[in-house]
This record gives sequence, structure tokens and C-alpha cells, in this order.
Amino acid sequence: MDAEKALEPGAPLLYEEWGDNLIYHGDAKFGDVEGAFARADLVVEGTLVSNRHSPTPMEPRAITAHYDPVKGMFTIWVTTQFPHVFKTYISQVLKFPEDKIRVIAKRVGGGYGPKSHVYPDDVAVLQLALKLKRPVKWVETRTENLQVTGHARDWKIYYRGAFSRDGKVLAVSIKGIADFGVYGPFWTEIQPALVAQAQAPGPYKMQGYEFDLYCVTTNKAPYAAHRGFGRPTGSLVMERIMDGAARRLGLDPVEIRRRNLIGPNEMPYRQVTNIVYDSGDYPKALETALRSFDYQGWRRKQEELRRQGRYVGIGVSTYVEYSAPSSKRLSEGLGWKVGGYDMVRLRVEPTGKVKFFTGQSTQGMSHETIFAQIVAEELQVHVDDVTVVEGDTEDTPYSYGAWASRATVVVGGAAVKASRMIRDKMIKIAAFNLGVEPSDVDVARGWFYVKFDPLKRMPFSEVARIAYQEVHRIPMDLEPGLEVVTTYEPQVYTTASTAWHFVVVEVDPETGKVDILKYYVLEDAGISVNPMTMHGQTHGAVAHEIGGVMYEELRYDENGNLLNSTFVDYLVPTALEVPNIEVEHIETPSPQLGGWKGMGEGGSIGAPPALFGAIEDALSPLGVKLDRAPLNPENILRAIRASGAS
Amino acid sequence: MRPAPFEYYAPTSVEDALRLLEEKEGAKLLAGGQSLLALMKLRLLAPPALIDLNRIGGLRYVREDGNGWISIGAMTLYDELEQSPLIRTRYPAMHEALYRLGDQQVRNRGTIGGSLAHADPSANLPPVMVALKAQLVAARRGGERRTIPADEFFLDAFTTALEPDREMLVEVRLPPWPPGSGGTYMKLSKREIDFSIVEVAAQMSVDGDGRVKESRVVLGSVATRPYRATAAENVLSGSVVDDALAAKAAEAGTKDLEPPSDVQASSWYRKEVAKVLVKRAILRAWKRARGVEQ
Repeated sequence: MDAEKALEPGAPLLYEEWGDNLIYHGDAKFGDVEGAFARADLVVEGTLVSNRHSPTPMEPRAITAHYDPVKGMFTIWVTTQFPHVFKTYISQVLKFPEDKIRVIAKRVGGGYGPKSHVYPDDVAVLQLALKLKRPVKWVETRTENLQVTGHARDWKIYYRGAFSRDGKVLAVSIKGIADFGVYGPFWTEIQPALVAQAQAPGPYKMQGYEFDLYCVTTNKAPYAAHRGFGRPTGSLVMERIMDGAARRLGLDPVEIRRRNLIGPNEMPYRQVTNIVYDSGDYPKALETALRSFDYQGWRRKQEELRRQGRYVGIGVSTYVEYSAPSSKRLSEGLGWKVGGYDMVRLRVEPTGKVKFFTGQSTQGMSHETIFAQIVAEELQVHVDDVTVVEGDTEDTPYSYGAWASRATVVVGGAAVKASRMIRDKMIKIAAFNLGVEPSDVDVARGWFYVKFDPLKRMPFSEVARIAYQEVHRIPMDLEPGLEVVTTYEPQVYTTASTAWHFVVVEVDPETGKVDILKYYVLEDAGISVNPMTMHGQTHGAVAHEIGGVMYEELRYDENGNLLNSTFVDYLVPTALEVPNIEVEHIETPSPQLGGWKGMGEGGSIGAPPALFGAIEDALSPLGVKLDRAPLNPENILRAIRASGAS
Repeated sequence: MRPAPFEYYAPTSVEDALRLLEEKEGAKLLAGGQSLLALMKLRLLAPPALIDLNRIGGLRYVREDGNGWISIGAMTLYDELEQSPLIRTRYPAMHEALYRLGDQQVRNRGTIGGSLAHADPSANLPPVMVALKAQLVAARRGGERRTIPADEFFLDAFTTALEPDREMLVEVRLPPWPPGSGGTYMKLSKREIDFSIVEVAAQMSVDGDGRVKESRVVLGSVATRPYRATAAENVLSGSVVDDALAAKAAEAGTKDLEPPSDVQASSWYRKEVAKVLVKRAILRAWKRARGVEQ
């Protein structure tokens, strides 16, 4: 039940044929690590234990399968984040022709990662349906969901950071032991652990970086994709190192971060890990956040409250969330048979109404709104005239699904591309009918008009009707109809969002209980399509990891029984525990179509280190160091006692 | 999760409910259902029959009797009690316990009688009842009534002095505390809506100089039944309370505790927090008794 002990010689073996309990061991070294540590004025060392927890989507998993022997069609309704990938995989596993499988995933009640897997129980349902030739339905209970679905973040980490006297980070070295439980399910397997290691350097410049990664099998549930996908763990370690160095050097935690940031003029930046960030202005984001949050004001207030005997602390964290990875990163870099592109279909109907088809499925990320907005803006039609169709493999193009905060970037980019293809064609048709050159025509607010004579114009819907119904009014070189299929993939290695989280907490030093007094997030995910849904995602993700780092912990007894498998004892924070979260957004566009960057997971990356830092800062008069999540009252009180204070 | 099959009865009088309780072996009385139904859904309980008390009239009230006692019908909802000005002004400890009980949905359905008869060692109200010296009225068939002091009512985890299959709780009676009395309820839980990790109810009366005449300090979640910290009460007796005395009383009152460990907290942590909460509760109860704090 303990991954570190499972590595010891003579440990009982989970799979005897392996000879050990290692799913994966890999190390990598970038730059001059030894040299940096040799030159360092300060080496910060420590351990970190992070707690296994669950993403608890509102809707647990569910699957219904129906095999129709007459048509030979196998129809599957399933709560998946990737209907097309599900279809491909199931076809391979069941040796069933892929063209006879239809996967439907409409309006799934929350994903957060674990629904981008295919689980053995899914396959069992499918086999049963094929065998019985009757519809078979299975709905996961909450207890089953907590027992097996989406466990992650179960790590023990040993870290070292080399610093110069003036607070520059020279190199970082991480040894990570990830408890993968019985296995890592299709299709992410050990990827979240690799991502955690790649995540750590974040927005900081450093000469050397190395990691040593052990993915260990134990008698716990499988380690799954879970909002952030390893990034929360990687950034938590890095930010703990920064906080530790700041304390040792007597620097403000903001100042030490400021001194190490990659500058805007260095973009695109090849990080020490060889991941290339497309864009970003980290110093500007920091300075904006400091002003809005009123950092100096809070530091003064903290002094004042400390004099009154109150234990108030301020935490800060930052990260780079590399989102929407490219094919180069996925298939070439990670060796995964996965594309970084997505494919869409766009149709302007004879009435002028627009339908946008994507093979994505939505789990509440407001695809219906933002894709419609993007298409409406490009075509200059009203957003209500655009319908987004998704979640059914039968009527949508192939898609790799919704994960890695990629949908806006990749599908949004494809939407722009498809819209422009149709718009150009409609401009040609309009120009033909208005008797001018296509270059003289533009479209605005539902009208195609002549640029030098705007009163000469045709309604959008009229051009659409002509395209279908009056072929003689279409230029000879054009086909009738208005429908395109196209793919898009960002022409950058990865889009790189960033954020700064600032949190103020008060700790009861006698009980270890924490109150969050203020929570502020500055997010830069490039151009914002819809600030309201974007802020909603940030709120959700911050709440998600306030839960993960303070309240939620999947605990097993020594016999491998999960001790908390209901919402009575697995504690997801409620509205009473989650504070008001202020979100501000600045825009440093990505240098590619749309300028967007993914951000759906970001809040869950920033929250854990900010809370660690804030609680430690609150208790700094007692000299308390925190190295274990969850930051629940008992663990905090133990840390207080361990510091020697009573 | 689904409960196992069960028979359902909805009597309209206490007498009928008691008759059914006697006749149907293993039957459970259903009040607000906030514990019972959850346990049945998890199949931790599978009673063959439920006797629903919600259609019995005349068990939902809060009223002041002539002699200063307050009587509460067993089927009175937490929410109704929380809203009651009588409870809030006369028994702030009870008001605080109700205010911090579950969430609004639970308070809209849960009943005082259901909670006390269920006797969960972590429930909010049992320690308060002991601290306030409540009297609990049990009914038997034929209109017979028996009054049980709260001290003697809670026997063990989920076990009360009610005679199985023969008695049901119909009323809670709270005695008047003299002028110069005050009390409080404090709990520590990870989330506000959770059962407590530790909870304390403290009630005391003081003389004109602030010396403690009588006090009751009762903990929950630390034993299988409400734990009266008599050692703390003895320290307080006859003294004016200050920080040092409260700490001394807390130390004495929690010294012999051997709280349980579970998935939410260890025994060690419960004992540490018990000490802190007892100290704080004593201070606040005393200040309220002195009228220097609300």
C-alpha cells in the first residue's frame, strides 16, 4: 500500500512476473545540473507528500450499449470526453469493425480527466451487450466512482534546488515516486507523471533540471487523468522550492519569483526541458496582479493582525500551463499515437442559419457558446443563428476529444479556418451578384456589402439561398452549397497560459483550522472568447483543488480497503468552504489563429502551492514547515507541534 | 444506492405508532429520516418495517410552561428550533448547536426527537441536552409517560434508555436556568456541514461576583456517549473564571479522555482539540453568564 516501500528489495510483488513493482522508471537531465549545484550559494532540500484524491464529477460514469444484429450497428451511449477515440479503441479491443460502431456522448455531467479513459467495466458492458443482443446499461454509483475513477496526485517527492545568493534559481533536481495503484488505464497510462516532471520549471529560467521518476504499482485504484494532468504536482514542487529559498535568503516570495521570470522579449522560449512556450508576459502579469490584489496593502495588514496575535498569511504561486500540445509533442515527443489537430465541419444552410459540427463532447465547458461565438464573429451572423453539434460519432468529424485544455485552441482554430473558407466563398457569390470584384466585398452584421458603396449589399441569408437554389447565380468555378470540412493544428509547439494566484488565510494555531480570507487569480490565457465562462472555469478549478489540497483524501487501510467511499466521509468542499474568488484576465495573444490558449485546468495548478505558501506564511512566527497534503487541521497541528511551538 | 425492501406504516396517533412498534418486530420509527434513510440506503440498516411519525399531530411545538420550563415536541424540526426566539434567548448553546447542524436541507427535515433517539455520538444536540439538564419524556401504550434525565438517557453509541419496541420519545423539557446563567456550543469539523470531530456544550450560572455556582461541560464525538467533564466542572466550582482557570479546567476535564480514531481525525487530535474547545467554551459561557458577551 506504500509506493516507496514497494520499491524496497523483498517487497511483496503485485505482478510476480515483473520481478519488481515498477511500472516505469525514467530519468532525464537537461543542462548543467552538477555544475549548478556545485556553484550554488544555497541548496534548498525537502520532501513533499501529496494526497491521492478524486475529481468527483457531478455525474459518475454511465454506459448503455445496444447491438442491432439486423443492421450490424453497435450503438454506445457513454460519458466520455473523447467519443471518437473511444470508438477506435473499442473497435481494437473487441475486434469489432469501427465503421459499425456509433458512440454518443451528449452533455456529460463533468469530466475532469477520468472520462478520457476506457475502463474494464466499460468493456464488460459492451461484451455483455454483444453477447445478449439486448441493450445493457450500467451506471456507476457514487461509491464506485470514489473507489476507482480518477484517482491521482498520490506522490512522494524529494527535491533539491540550487540558488545563487541573489535568489536566482540555477538548477532543480526532483526524484518523484508516483503511486499508480494497480495500473494506469488507457489511454494516459503513465503520462500524467511525465507531465508532472515536465511541468516543474514553469515560468522560471534555469540552467539545469533533472528528474528521476518512479511509477510504482500498488494495491490501490488505478492512477488516472485528473484536471491538471500531473501539472499541479509539478508546480507544487517548484513553488515549494521557491518559497523555501525565499525563506532561507530572507527574500519576499514575490521578489524571488520576479527575479527568475522568463522575459517577454525571450518568447518564444525554449525551456530547459526543451518545451517551447509560444508566448507570454510573466512580469507584466505579476505586476498587474500585485496592484489588483494590493499585495503591499495586505502585507501591511498582515503585520497589523500579527500584532493582535492573529496568524494571517499570504501565499503566492505561478505556473505555465502548456496546453493544446501539438502532434510534434504528442506523437513525436511522447511517442503517443495521437494527433494534436482536430477536424470540424461547418455548414451554412440555405436559410442562412449555421451549423458547426465537432467530434468533441461537452462536459460543461460551454462549447455550445464559445464555438458559436467564434463562428458568428467570423461570419458576422448573430450568435443565436449558430448551432453547435457535437458528441455523436455518426454526424461529426474525427476528434481527439476534450483534454489538455485544448478544445478552444484547436477546435476554435479550426472553426476560424472553416468560417473563413465559407466566408470567402460567400464573398465570391455576393460579388458575382453585386457585379463587383470579390476583393471589393466584405461582410458585416449579416450583410455582404460593397466596400466603396456600402448601400450596395445583399443579406447573408440571400447569398446562402443562392448558393443552394440558384446555381446560375454562382461563379462558374464554384460548386454549389456551403459546407466545408477542415482540420487545424496550432503552428506552435504548445500554447502556454499562465496565472498568478494570491491567497490570504488565517490559521487557528491551537487547532490547525484554516480560514481563507481572500482569493485572487490573475489569468493570462491569451485572447478570451467569453470572459464569463472563462472565469467560471477558473472558479471551478480553484474550488476543485481547494478541495484536493485541504479536504479530500482517499485513505486506505493496511488491507487495501478504501476507508472513505461516500460523500459523508470523502469531504468535497461546499459553498461555505470555498471563498469568493476574484478573477482578472489579461491577454497576451498566442501567435496563432485566434490567439487563444487553453486554461480549463489552470486554477487547479495554482491553488495548491498558493495555499501551502499562505498557511506556512501564517505560521512563520512559529517556524512551521509544511511538507504534506492534505492541509487539514490535524496535519497542520502536527506540523505546528513538530516545529517545537506549543 | 437503494434500501432493502421494507414495509411502511403511517400511523396518525402516538398510540397507534406504539402499537405498531410492539407488533412489527425490528420496526424502526421514522422521524426526519436524516440518519435512518441514509443508513438504509447504504444498507448498513435494513429494518423490515418503518413507522412514519410525520402524520401524528401535536408533536411539533415549542412552548413555555408556567413554571419557566420550555417544552419541545419530539417532531419539531431543527429549523423551527433554530428560528425560535425562545431558544435563542434562553439557551444560546442550543441555538448555536442548531445553527451549526448539518446544512439547511438537513435542518428542514431533521427533528430533535429523531436526533436524540438515534443517539449518534457525534450529533450536535445530545451534549447540549446533558449540559442544559434536559428531561426527556418517553411515551408508552395507554397514555403512560416516563421522564428520563438527559444524563441517564444516552447509554452508548446509538443506544438510549428508551425501552426497545415499547417506548418512543415524545417531548423534550428544558429547565429554567437562573438569572446570571450563560452557555455556548462549539464544534470543530473539517467542513461546516460535517459531523464534529470534537464538540463541546458548556452551561453555567454565576453569582454577583462572577463566581461559578453551577456548571456543566459536556463533550461530544470523543466517546460513545456525551462525556461530562466533571473534573472541569469541579475546577470551576466557586471560582471566578479567567484564561488560566479555563485552561486548568480544560486540562483536568479532558485528561482521562480516550477518544476514537477514524478517517477524519486521530485520537490524539481529538484530545488536543477537546482541550482547546473546552477552554474556549468555558470562557465564553462564563462571559455570557456575566452578561459581558453576547
